[in-house]
Amino acid sequence: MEEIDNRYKNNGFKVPDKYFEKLESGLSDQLYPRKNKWQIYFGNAIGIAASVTIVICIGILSYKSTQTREKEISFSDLDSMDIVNYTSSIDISDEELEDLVPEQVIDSLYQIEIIHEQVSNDIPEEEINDLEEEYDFLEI
Amino acid sequence: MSNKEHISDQELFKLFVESNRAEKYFRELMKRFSQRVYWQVRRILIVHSDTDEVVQSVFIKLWQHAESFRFDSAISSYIFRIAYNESMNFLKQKRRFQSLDEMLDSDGFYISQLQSGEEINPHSVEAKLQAALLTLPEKQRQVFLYRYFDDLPYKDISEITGTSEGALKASYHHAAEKIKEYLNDN
Repeated sequence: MEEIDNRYKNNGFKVPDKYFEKLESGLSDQLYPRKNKWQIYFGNAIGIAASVTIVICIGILSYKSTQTREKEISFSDLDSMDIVNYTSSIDISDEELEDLVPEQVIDSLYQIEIIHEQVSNDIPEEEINDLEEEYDFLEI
Repeated sequence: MSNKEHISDQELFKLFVESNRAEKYFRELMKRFSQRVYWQVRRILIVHSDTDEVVQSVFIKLWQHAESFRFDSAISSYIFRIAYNESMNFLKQKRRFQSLDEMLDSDGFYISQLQSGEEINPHSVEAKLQAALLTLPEKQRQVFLYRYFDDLPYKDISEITGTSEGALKASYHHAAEKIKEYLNDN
C-alpha cells in the first residue's frame, strides 16, 4: 500500500487515560468476582450452621424412630381381660383359639374361669348379678 | 518475569482451557490481545463507548466459549473473528446496519462523530482517511482496515470475515482506488 503512505496509519482516535488497565481489571472482576472477608466469614458461618442443623435433625429423627419401636407391643403385653373380651366377640373355636393364643395366656384364662366358678359357688346369685352389672368384664 | 510470558499464544490458550479457566492465564491473554482487539473494533465502530462495549463482550465470549476452539487455526484469528462478529452484530442491532454491501454511514452519524472532535481531531490526516473510508461499501472498508492498519495477510482476513481470498483482493483493490481519489480531491 505504498500509494497511501504510512502517515495515515496512526490511529488518531482519542482513548481515555489508563483505559486498557481499567479494561483488563474490570473484565477480570466481572469474570472472577472477589469475595470480601465478611462474605467469606458469613459464607463459612452459614455452611457450619447448615451442617449443625442437619446433624440435629438426623439425631431427632433417629431418637423418635427408636421411641416408636419401643412402644410396639407384643401379644403377651395385652391385658388378659382385653383378650377375653375380644375372643368372646369373635366367632372362633376353642381349638383355633388354642393355636392362636400363647399357652401362658390360656393358663391365665383358665385361672379367671376357676375364680369365676368359685365366686359363683361362694356368693349368692343376687350378689353376683349386682357385681356383674358393676363389673361387666366378668361376663365370660 | 513469569514463565507464561514466554509461551506461545496457542500454548497459553491451551493452559487456560486445561486449567478450567484459571484467572492468571486469562489475564495474560487479555494483556496480549486487548489493545489489538480494541483498535480493530475501534476502527470499525469509530465511537469509543461503542468499542468499549463490544471489546468487553469479545473477551466475555472468549471466556465462555473457550472449549469450542479446536486449535486448528491461530488463536489470534479466532479472537479477531469473535471481534469481527461482535462488531457486525453491534452495527446491525444498534445502528440498524443491514449488509456489508451498503455504506455504513448512510445517515451521516459517523461523519458527525468525526467532525465533533470527541473521537478524533477533525483536522488530522487520520480523520481525513476515516472520512474517506466512510464513503466505501462496508465490505471494502473492512478489508482495507485489516490490510492497511493491521498488515494481516488475505488468508487471515478470509478466516476472520468468512470471505474468499479472491473476493477480498478485489475489494481491497477497489477500496484503495476510491480512497486515493478521495484524498486527492479533498
